[in-house]
Amino acid sequence: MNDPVPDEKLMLAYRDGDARAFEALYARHRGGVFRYVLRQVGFRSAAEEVFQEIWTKIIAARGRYRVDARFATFLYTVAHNCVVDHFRSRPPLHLVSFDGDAGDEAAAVPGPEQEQPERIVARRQSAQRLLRALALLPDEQREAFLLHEEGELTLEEIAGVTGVGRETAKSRLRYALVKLRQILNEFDLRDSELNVSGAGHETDVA
Amino acid sequence: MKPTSPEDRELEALAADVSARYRDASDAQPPAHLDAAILEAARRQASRPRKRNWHYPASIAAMLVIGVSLALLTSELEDPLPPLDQVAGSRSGDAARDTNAALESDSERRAEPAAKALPDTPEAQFGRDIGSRLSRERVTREQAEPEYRAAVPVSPEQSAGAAAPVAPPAPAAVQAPPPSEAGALRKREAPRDAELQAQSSAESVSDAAAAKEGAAPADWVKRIEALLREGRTGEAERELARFRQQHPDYPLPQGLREWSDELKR
Repeated sequence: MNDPVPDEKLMLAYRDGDARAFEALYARHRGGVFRYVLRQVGFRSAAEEVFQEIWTKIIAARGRYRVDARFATFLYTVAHNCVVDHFRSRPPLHLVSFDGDAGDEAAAVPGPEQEQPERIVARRQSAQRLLRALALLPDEQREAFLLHEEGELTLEEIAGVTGVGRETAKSRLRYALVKLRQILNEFDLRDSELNVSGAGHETDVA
Repeated sequence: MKPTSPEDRELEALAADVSARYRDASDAQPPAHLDAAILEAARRQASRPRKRNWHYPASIAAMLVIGVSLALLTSELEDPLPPLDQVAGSRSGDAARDTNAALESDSERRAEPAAKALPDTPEAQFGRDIGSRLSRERVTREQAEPEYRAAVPVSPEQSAGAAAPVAPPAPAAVQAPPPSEAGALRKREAPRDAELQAQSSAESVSDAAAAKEGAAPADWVKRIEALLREGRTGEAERELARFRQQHPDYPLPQGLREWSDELKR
């Protein structure tokens, strides 16, 4: 089984003129970077704008790229800076705008084809609730969680991208995970209650 | 994330559960048109020749140019220090030159005011007249006695004065001493006169003033004559008075005697 080519090699190949190396690199990271931006910016249109700016900067940095760290760290550092720049020019409006986007996205969550409608609805509700909980997290905790989930960065890398110490990054990530876990547990509890009542109802009907 | 402590492992376990749920819930992707635009931009950029990083070579070259220029400029401005013995030698030479220059300028300063202050006063004019008369007397002697000329070294100024057409012939009143007396006087005066010529006029007079009390009368007389030639009549008058106190019977040269008589009158 062939190991995938490391990101750094792909970027070096692109620096040397190989456009297909960039396509491979972009395919690997496009989803993660886009979601990282979307969860922070809130609006899809704004997220697309920031997303394009990030990749434009990566392309422009091609000539002076050097392997000083993982490519993901470099990429998410650029993304972090672009998001900060975006909020400097336009203050965040998460609470007003996020519901619509989150609802749309949650509605688009795919499920198994033969899944029962109740389960599909439950999954969508779970996703919507998780995304809403994520939007309600403090900015620093949300960013730490997204860098961990979308960029798959280590605590040290998160600390480096956000410009804080490792323990601070760890604390932020821990708080984010604990809060999300609590919300998910509450939902699970309701879901199980719903299932129990639904089963009782079916029994009654039956 | 590589767990390294129990805390990290606990965090990782917590993240694993939430991550799975998050990935199920979140699958947002960028739109296709954005993908196409970004990939097109990347291809365009890749087709361009890569910009060489010229900043480092350019900055190094600039630093070299500036450094070399500064070094050259500094070496031009500052000569290397000479060895200590050269410094000492040049300093002693400089000191000697400075001393000579100071002495020269000092003597010039002392001579100039005397020459400049006197012309306006009648006394100074009188002194200059007497001086010229004494010079004429010497010229007469030289013409009359070639031995005298041979014994006396003549300075350029004196020779010019002697050759000058303004010098009138010796008056009839100026009489040469008898030959025997003149010879003795000539023998006495010749080396002394030469000695006087060698000395700087003003300084030699002032320097010799300390020793004049014990000097020979003829030397003293010569100094008084020199003072008169320089127009320093006041000093000459004082010197003559002192001379007369010590040598009341010493016969003065005729010019000096006439000047003395005029002073008495």
